[in-house]
Amino acid sequence: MISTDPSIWVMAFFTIAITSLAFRDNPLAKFAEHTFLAAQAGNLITMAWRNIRSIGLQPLMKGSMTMLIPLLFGVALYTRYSKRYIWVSRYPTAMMVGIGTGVTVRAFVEFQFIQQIIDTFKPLNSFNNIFFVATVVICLTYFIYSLTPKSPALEKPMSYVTRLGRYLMMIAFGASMANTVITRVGQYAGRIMFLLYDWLGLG
Amino acid sequence: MIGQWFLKIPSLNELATSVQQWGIIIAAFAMGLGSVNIIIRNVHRIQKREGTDWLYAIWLLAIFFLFAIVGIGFGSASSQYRYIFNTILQPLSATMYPATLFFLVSAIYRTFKTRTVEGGLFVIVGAIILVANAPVMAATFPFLVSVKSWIMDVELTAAYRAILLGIGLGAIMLGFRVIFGLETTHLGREEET
Amino acid sequence: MASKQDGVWIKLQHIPREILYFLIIISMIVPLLRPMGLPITISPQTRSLFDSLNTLEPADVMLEFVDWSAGSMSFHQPGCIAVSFQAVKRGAKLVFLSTSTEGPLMYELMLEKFQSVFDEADYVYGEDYVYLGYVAGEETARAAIASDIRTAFSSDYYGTSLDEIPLMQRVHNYADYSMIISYTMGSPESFVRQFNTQYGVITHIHCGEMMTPTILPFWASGQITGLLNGGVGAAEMEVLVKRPGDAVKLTDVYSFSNILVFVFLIIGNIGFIMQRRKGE
Repeated sequence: MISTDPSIWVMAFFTIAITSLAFRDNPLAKFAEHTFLAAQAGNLITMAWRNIRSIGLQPLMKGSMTMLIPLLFGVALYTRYSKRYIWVSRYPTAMMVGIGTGVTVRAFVEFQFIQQIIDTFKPLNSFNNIFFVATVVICLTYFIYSLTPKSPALEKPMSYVTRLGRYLMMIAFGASMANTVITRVGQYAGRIMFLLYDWLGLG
Repeated sequence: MIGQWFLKIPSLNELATSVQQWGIIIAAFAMGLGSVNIIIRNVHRIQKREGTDWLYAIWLLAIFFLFAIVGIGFGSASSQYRYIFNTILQPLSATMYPATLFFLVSAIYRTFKTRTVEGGLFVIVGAIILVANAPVMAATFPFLVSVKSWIMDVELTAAYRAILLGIGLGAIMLGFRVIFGLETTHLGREEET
Repeated sequence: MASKQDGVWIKLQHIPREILYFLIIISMIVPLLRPMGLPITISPQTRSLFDSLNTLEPADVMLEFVDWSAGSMSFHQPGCIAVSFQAVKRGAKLVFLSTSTEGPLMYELMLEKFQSVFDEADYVYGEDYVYLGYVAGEETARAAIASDIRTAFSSDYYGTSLDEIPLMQRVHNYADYSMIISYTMGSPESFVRQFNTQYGVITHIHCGEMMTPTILPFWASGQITGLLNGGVGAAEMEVLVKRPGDAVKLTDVYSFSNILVFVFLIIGNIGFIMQRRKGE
């Protein structure tokens, strides 16, 4: 039974309007795009205000004066809209980037190097393990731009190795492309499910 | 932050945790920057009154203020905010990125051709993975599941590990350049010159 | 000299996109109206997550990061429901939270479908499960949650102070989390970095299939214990917990749509190869 809920009809309208963008640019799609942009921005403001209030303002009201520092830094971010005081906004930006970089970099070596290299040292007692280790090493040679063999005898074999590395990576990228298609299919199927089951009542 | 990782000193840990909290608050303020930009640009569009653009700009600002006023006034946990979110933002957000499926399919059909060995490998493996992820084909040709598992768990994992190691080197270098002040593009210095 | 056959190969490479799009939509509608219910093979990554969930005890606390947006709700929501169902079956306590702006409303939509499970298991809000809301800052927020959850949240999503919530009185930092799971389409590695690498917390990820290639090396090295691969993974989890739902319905769509995209890929290449051969 087709839905009589006006909100379901609005949701269906927006779904179809955005989908129509794939076929052709049209006023409905443009209307939906603008609505999306506005709603996203409004949602961001709402969530940001919640955080500022609960983590910054409320502790400040309860006497935690150190909260004044990040609150002032946060307000200082908006000086970027002033040509005269734009330099003030660099301090909170630098602080934000510094904290983010520090938090990411500290565990990075252990996370992306040590653990990965340890796991690459597999026992060479099966085809899969040998292939695995060989693939990692060969693909890594593709990224070595600065080590050009001086001896002509080595240059040609190295070029074959880097070419093989390229082929191995293209296999991985092909699988990656397929995975991207599968993701988008799964995501869009959710919208089709909504249109069929919730809007048209066919499920 | 880095000190917190290497040195297990309680007072340093407390300081680092406090600074992380400051980072959260500043990030929350930063979220508003995009919204301010949107307001400024669309007010300009309304002032210019070019074609029908300014009508879309009025609608955009109306929806923005609707969300902001209801969200801040009633709270994001309120039934009012939930209603406008579920009716307006949820279907738009749910369709916007998935709709790129159509562009992806068009690109796959028109662009992914076996012009070179690399292109051929890309197409063949992509085709195998697509088909192997279709349960009807996996049930009809069970060997496809083994092929898919081997490609994903051995070949792809190994290749991406090499890529991650390469990217990791670059990311660490960039991180240290930012920390030591050698990288300043995030501070927008070019804007002044 | 161009022949009629050459025209066929050229035409094969220039099918109007509207026809392609229409066929894609039909390939999704048909299986959703007529489900086939084909068997689903369980991957080792999903099995690993399921086995890890089965080690949960009633005193254990699991953090669930509701970080999906509406775009990936079609598979993240059923994945979260299946995982949470198994955790509730084990009697574990659940702390839901978000580091994505759409997270809070996605949690509310998930709860509409999951509340009955909490009710059947006599789970009480505040004692057995809680939702803390959204915190800004991406990786900085995750680092803060790992080192001291009270630096990121002073109250739950509904405004109750953390100190007044019985469950949160014993949840402070990484030492109190038995495991975490993140349902996200953006930067799942940051969870691994901040929880597993930094503090050794068991970390599971549910990401979209397109992110799986970059995440698989971390699962292979043991840094990620369980990995749900998008909609396929969510369906596998639903089968393992014996609660088939929306994700299992999606697998029928994959049967049709994947094959259709495969056909488009092959048609385009056949046209290209035959045209090139005629031109030689």
